[in-house]
Amino acid sequence: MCAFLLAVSPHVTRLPVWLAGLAIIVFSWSYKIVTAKGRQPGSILRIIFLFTVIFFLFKHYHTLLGRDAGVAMLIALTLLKFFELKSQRDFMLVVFLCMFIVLTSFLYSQSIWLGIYLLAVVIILFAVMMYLNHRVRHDLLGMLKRAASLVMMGLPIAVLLFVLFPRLPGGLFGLPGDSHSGLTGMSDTMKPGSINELNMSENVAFRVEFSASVPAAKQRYWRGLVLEQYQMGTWKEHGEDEVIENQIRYSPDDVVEYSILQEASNKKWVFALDIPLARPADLVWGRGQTLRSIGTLRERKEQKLQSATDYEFVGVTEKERQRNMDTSSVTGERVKQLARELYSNSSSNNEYINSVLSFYRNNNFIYSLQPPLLGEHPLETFMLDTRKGYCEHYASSFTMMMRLAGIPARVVIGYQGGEWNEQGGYMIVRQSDAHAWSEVWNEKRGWIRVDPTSAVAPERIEYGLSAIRQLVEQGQQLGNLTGDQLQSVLSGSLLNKTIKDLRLFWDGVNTRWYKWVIDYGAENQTGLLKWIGFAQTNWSKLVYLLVALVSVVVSLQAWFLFHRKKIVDPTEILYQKFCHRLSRIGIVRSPSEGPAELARRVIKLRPDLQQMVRPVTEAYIAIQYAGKTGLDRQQQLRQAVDNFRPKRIN
Amino acid sequence: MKTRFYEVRRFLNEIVLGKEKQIDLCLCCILAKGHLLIEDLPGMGKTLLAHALAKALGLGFSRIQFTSDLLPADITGVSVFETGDSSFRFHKGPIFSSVVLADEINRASPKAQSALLEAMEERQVSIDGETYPLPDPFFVIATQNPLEQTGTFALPESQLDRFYMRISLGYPDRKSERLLMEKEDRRDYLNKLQPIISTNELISWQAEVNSIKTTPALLDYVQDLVDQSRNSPEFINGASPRAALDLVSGGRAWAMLAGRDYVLPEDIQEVLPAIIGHRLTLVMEQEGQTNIGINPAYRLLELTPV
Repeated sequence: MCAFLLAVSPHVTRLPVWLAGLAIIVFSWSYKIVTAKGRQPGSILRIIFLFTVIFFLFKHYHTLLGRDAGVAMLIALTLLKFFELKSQRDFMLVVFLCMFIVLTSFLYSQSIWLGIYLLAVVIILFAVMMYLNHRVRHDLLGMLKRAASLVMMGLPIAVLLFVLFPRLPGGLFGLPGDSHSGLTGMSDTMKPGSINELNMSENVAFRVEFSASVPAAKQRYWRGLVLEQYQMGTWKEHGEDEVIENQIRYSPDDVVEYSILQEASNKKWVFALDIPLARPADLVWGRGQTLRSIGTLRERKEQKLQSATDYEFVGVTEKERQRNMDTSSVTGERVKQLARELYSNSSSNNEYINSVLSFYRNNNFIYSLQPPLLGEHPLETFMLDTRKGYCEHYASSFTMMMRLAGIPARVVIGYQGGEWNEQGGYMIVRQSDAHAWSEVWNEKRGWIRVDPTSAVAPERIEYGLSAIRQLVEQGQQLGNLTGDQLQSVLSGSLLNKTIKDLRLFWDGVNTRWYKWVIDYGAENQTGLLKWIGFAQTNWSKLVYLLVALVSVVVSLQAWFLFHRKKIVDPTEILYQKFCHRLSRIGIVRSPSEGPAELARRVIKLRPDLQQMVRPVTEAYIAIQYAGKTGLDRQQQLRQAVDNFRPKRIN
Repeated sequence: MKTRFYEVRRFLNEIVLGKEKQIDLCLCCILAKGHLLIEDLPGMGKTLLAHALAKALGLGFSRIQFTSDLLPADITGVSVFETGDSSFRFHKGPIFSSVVLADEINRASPKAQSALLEAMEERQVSIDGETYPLPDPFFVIATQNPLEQTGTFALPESQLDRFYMRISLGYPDRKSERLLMEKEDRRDYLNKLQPIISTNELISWQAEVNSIKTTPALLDYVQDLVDQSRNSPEFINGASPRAALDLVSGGRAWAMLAGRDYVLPEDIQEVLPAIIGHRLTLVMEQEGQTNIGINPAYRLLELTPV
């Protein structure tokens, strides 16, 4: 019962509450049966229970199929099984059902902790099985020890099977999640407030491993979506005409190769370093040189990508140009006036860009995570009144300022920065690193990235959002600190640093676990085999290798088990030789037979051997039991055994 | 010494016919200073065997017939007020004898049983604050009826453990039984005989048992046996350390009887069923199916390699 509860416990938060009520009924009833010899419920009552449970399950999940409902049903029916525990068979059945429930936990999560926990549960279940089969000793600890040693013995075989068993491409638990289970991630629209929510989350968005050097923080813009349409204060992706292939000019020296391990997001966006060059086979191009997966990302996925950090993004269609100059939903005369003023004071587009950025810098714009609401004319209110906001506000307002001056501009959303994990050798990008910036069209150089946030809060770009939060918490004014001051404020206490290091270390362990255990698939397998030296493998070769290795492991284990009391005593070896020779003439010593007994039996069966058997037995007994030592005795025994050459008689 | 021993053996075998193995075990039990439990049906010669032992070894003999109304004082003795010198005087009970035959021990109440078993363990009797040592050598032969008979109190395991050996005599074979009928009455014959050895001789023999050699290989075997009884799922309880000690001393005594000064695994195997048989219980394989009739000790021997 206890083991059942342990097996179910990972599911608890996902199950309907009334199942707990059912569990209490069932367990109190079986407690009554055990202690007070109460009766088990009759068959009619059991059937009523069954249908009630099924009815409630159906009501709760509106189906009996699928992962959630299926697991709940399995658990509920296992509970009901406690009502009819009569014979050994019933108990065994419950144990097996518990094993199955243990397995179902992996449909939800595959973390290391869960794995370790469930391994412990399996050991307990084994111990319960042992108890059921013995029913004598109540030595629970010994039973657990034996169960654990059995599991440990099985482990090498499991590892071998895991590594070598032929695999279909796909993850370990490649089950699609229920479609309505929500996951945090980036949304495809931008409205002041929407990224703010995301900012708060420390969840990992993706991890990146670079094959060579790591780009500087200022260059780590992870491109997600390009938003071109602005309506009613909301930025949207342009959904109509076809996505065209863009032209990127770049120097081959600047290409960064990396692999990105993206968490499940239930979206299609793939975040590549600005700007992705090649497209892997299972991805498609999105608008504005972004990458999309073909299906939604329901599970963790690894992609190998290439990007250029120094590039010229040229080529624009007329439609595109028009779209990115659209200012139809901008309201407020004052802001239009401001744009006109600034534009008329600048001699070129570049100067205009700079003057807008200095406008931010010189007019007390504040980077804030809790900006005030913007009301009816969001752009005007932000630019001229509140002047408080975070990346979205700046990207949005800057882009519109460009458009108001007739320069094509658009918003890009994605992530910026990332935390380097020293131990793991990779970069973690969290949801809190979400960011928005602008791209402005330049006739000569194509789309140029302009990040207005950096004009207001360069710390955001250099140190990430957590630094901002830390500074705000300490009451520092953003943008006023020198680099050294910043460093000293940010490095914080030793304890903080240790905690941070530990967190990074643990993240490293976890990532390896996912990469090598959970996501271990056909690709990793061939890679590993190649590394061992099996260049070309096919299924049948794999199976041969597997069978061979498993049998080696099993025979090694068997050898250790049977030779645990390895005979090192030379006397014993000689006597074993004698027994072996006896067995050749058909007289086999039973393990429980003593030497004198054996000699008597041999002489009775083969009186002719008396002369040969006697000296062996006497010498053996003299050494082993009479306590006579000395080399001459040993020699005597050796002689006697060597002389013992019995012939088979018919 | 060896010849004297054979005389004792021959003497006993003349009185109790056709029970060589049981007589040897009996002697072995005395040499190892243990107490003997004989389990058998009435009329099998239990009393005669006890008598003959006492006679052959020249020891005092007394007999206590256990009944359901037997009181502890009937065994140990009682303090009686003497009018002559106006004081209490302790009158020794039948237990103050070198060989005590406790007949049908399982007929008495547990209280009376435990009085005997305490005396066996302590080798002394305490009454009214006075301690009276029992004679040395002190040897109890208890007999008991098979438990299926009515009106019996089974000895609990803890008390069974105090008996060094349990044997059963069993029916004599046809030839022995014929001899029994033809010859003179055994009891009369016994009364005519003289003791063979003296008490002191027996005590020195008992001391000699400890000088019989046991090698590490032999002790390994004994430990294997005990471990097997503790770890194998076939037995309910494992053998106690006392049982292990008894096995070693039993093996020594047996080796001495065989005229050897070292112990062989075979010696252990010979005495093991008598020494361990009553201290082990086989697990019932399945509900409803019993293993009565199989001595668990034989199973233990089978399971343990030498």
